[in-house]
Amino acid sequence: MKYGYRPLLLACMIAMCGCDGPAPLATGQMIGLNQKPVIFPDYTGITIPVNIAPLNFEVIEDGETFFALFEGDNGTTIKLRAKKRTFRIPAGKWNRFISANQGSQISVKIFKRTQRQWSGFVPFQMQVASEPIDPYLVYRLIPPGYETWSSMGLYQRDLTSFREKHVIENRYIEDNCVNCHSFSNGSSENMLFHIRGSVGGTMIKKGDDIEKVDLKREETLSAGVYPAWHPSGEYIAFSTNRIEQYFHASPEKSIEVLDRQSDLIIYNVANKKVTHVPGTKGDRYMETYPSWSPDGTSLYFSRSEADEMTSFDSIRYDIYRIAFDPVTEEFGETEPVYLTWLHNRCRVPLSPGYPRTGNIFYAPSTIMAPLPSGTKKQTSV
Amino acid sequence: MKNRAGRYKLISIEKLTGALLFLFALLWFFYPGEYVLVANQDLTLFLTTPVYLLSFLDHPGGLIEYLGSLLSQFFRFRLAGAVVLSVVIATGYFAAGSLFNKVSGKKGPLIAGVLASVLLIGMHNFYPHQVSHSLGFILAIAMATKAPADRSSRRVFLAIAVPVIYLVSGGFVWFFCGLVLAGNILGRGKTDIVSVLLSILYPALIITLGARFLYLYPLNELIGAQLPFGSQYGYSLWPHLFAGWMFLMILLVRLPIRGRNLNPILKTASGISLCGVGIVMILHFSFNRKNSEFFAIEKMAIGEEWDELLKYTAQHPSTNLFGSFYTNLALVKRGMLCEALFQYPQGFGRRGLCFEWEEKSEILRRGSDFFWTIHFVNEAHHWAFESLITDGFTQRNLLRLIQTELVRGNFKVAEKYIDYLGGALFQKKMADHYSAFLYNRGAIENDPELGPRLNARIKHDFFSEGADLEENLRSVLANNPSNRPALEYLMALYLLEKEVDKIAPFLPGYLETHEGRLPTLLDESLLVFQITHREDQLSDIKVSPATKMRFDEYTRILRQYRNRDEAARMLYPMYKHSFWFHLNFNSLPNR
Repeated sequence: MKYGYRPLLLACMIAMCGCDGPAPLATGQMIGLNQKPVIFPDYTGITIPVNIAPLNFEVIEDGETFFALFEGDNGTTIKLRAKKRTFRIPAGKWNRFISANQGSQISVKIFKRTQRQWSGFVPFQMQVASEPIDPYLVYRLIPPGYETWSSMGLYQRDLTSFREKHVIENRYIEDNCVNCHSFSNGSSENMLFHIRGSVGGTMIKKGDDIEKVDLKREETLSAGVYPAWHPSGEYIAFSTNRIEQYFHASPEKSIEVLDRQSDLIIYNVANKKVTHVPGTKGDRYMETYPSWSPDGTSLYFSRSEADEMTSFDSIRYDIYRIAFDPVTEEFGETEPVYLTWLHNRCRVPLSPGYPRTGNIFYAPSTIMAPLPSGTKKQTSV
Repeated sequence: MKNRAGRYKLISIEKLTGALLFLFALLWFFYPGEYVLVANQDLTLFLTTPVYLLSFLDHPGGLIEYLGSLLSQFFRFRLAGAVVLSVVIATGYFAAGSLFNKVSGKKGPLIAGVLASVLLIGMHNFYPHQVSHSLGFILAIAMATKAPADRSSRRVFLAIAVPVIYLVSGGFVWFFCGLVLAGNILGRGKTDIVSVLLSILYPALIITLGARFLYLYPLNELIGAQLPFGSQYGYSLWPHLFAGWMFLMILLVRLPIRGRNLNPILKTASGISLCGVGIVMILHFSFNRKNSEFFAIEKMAIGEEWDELLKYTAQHPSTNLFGSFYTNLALVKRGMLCEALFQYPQGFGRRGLCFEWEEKSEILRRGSDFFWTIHFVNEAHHWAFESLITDGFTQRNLLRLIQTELVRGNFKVAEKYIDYLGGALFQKKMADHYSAFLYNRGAIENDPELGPRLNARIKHDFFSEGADLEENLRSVLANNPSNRPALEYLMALYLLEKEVDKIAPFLPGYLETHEGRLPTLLDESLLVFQITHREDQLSDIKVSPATKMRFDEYTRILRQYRNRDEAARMLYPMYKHSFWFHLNFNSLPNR
């Protein structure tokens, strides 16, 4: 199939002769391919924020030379030649290009040359959103060991560029382990992270105050593990867990990490009091992965009836929530939100993981709306 | 003419001494000190990439560490490694000699430089000592030699040299400043106070500013960065003696010494005698025979020279945990574990068969070998991976990761590791060898090392039981009863722990996999089992007549002596390697 854009392409080639940039394509018959290119990461058909850093990608196709033509609806273009199959888009050009195409679509055409013959893939599109993305993402960077560790740290990455800066590296804290980190309402104004090791504890930053606290109490299983800031910033819910790690012998599998016991606690940031979330203390259930509703009046969490004898592949969680009054600090009734036994009887066994705020919780391969409050059992959603 | 001739002779003696020291060091590290090369040959993998170099520049002393990493790669080759160390030792001699000459204002005594260089050998005999440590000392000495005598030039020199030396060699800047300070105080003329302050306060300022604005490391880590002192280096007196010797000699060459007008022959003879005594004492007290023997064993284990290893440990029985581990590994490789187990020291019990999990690099580095031998690939991978976390990439852990990922079919990951290995200085051939297995299951199946592991894939999954060696071995055998190494180890474990009842059920399977032949120790345990379980005598399996005869003699002697110790003494010559002797007289080590 021959593409109708060939004359335009030829015009582009001629135009490119006068520009700084990649060498023009060899003239001659262009073969049209019936497929989109396979690229990594796969950016085909996605929507991107207007301020995202250049989306460099690799072409996973056979060919000697690759060429890319980015076209915006307003006629702006970027032309690039791949280096070793990888397209690296100059940041300045990219920023100007997607700013100019804010709120509209861009088309990416990939061409390849094999034995002096050019061929072109079916173009793919990306939609440029009008909205920018929050520029900073924080993550832990660690060589993925199982039980030992060496250097690691928490880093922040500017999503509008490739700049990465450390928040804390463990060389400052006697090579201890830094792990769970959490921000209140996505702001670094109130944040926390855990340290494990000789100087272990939880670093909590509230405004300009930073302190290290020990969340372990005599009656708790452990110090706080998975955190969730209350929207007000006055409370933090934590799970306390006895986590165990198991190594598979079968070559198809690697490792299992699971709880054998878990409960929930609430930490009052002002008076530093630690209390159990009612009904979660003890071995009857395992409660974990706390998450607040946006208005802070409900605490969602995962709960399992599994105990120490339950086989690892039989552990299933349900989603529950408990009402919370931020003024009186009192909890209400616990009620189910998603019951695995009810909704997955006939399917491949699933288990909800992390409930997330925004009134949506996530179960593997399923997104469902929550149950209305007060509902004990659910027959359909 | 005479003076000129005399000076010419002295220069020759200096160089001749340096050459002799080079040869001496070469012989030392080629023969008795070879363990130093073996211990340090695989601590790092030197990559010929800019990124690798850059990784050394985020802390002071990184450059000298980088150079040390490069030089230690030659330790993989016995002669080249010995040459590298000999060059370092000889350079130390010349550097120290130059410094003493400069401080004294004339030719200093040869003994000063000779003993300084022999102390360098002494430092290296403590195997955690790295080449970079010696290079740091030598750099500091060489730069101290360059310090101008003129006051203002010296100030400028210090102002420039201190930050540069700190950047290049880290905490050795203190040693440099100490030498310059000693020379300043003990030198001719008035002490230059500015130089004194530059030697003390200036490095402190540079280090503090570096910690705050440049390196962003805790200050206490940067103060002594790279210095061979402290808990990370390990306890050794030799760096202290070396540093002390340098300062002592600076002091002594400045002091008026009686006997300068002694007979030259007497002077020379006494110098040589002192040198000789010093050399003998340093080498005697620094050389560690146990380390030497252990690393000789490890070298043979890494080279898979199992017969040589067994011959060596028969003559030098190892009471070191790692030596015991390798000896048992060699016995398994030769199919002799249940034949000759008690011919070698087994004081560590089950830990001599398989290490208990410990987050220590010495354990993690070697533990993978056991699991690889019993074809427990996932666990071999686990240990190798953790070794990677604690040690960084080394040839040893990288090879194991490549092997395990190839067997597990994770070719993309294996390819990543192979590429990494291929980027190292001397490992391209190894990388090319393993490249041939990528995406080529047939080649893996046919490989004598990888094929058996592929064929022994775990089909019925289980969890590795960490510290429980018995459970792991039983689970591996449940998946594949004909796994001979696993069976050997399990039987050896039961022999060590005197679990006669546990051995018995495995004997029919053992016979099936071992051409119908029971090794001596299992034969002996079978006899004990049959005597103690007359109702269940495993009657299909016959104890050999020779074992029965030996047992009759054993019990006869045992009955003769009521006193246990006396009986042990009488039985020891003939039966010390038998299971019966172990059963009756050896106590189990604490688990």
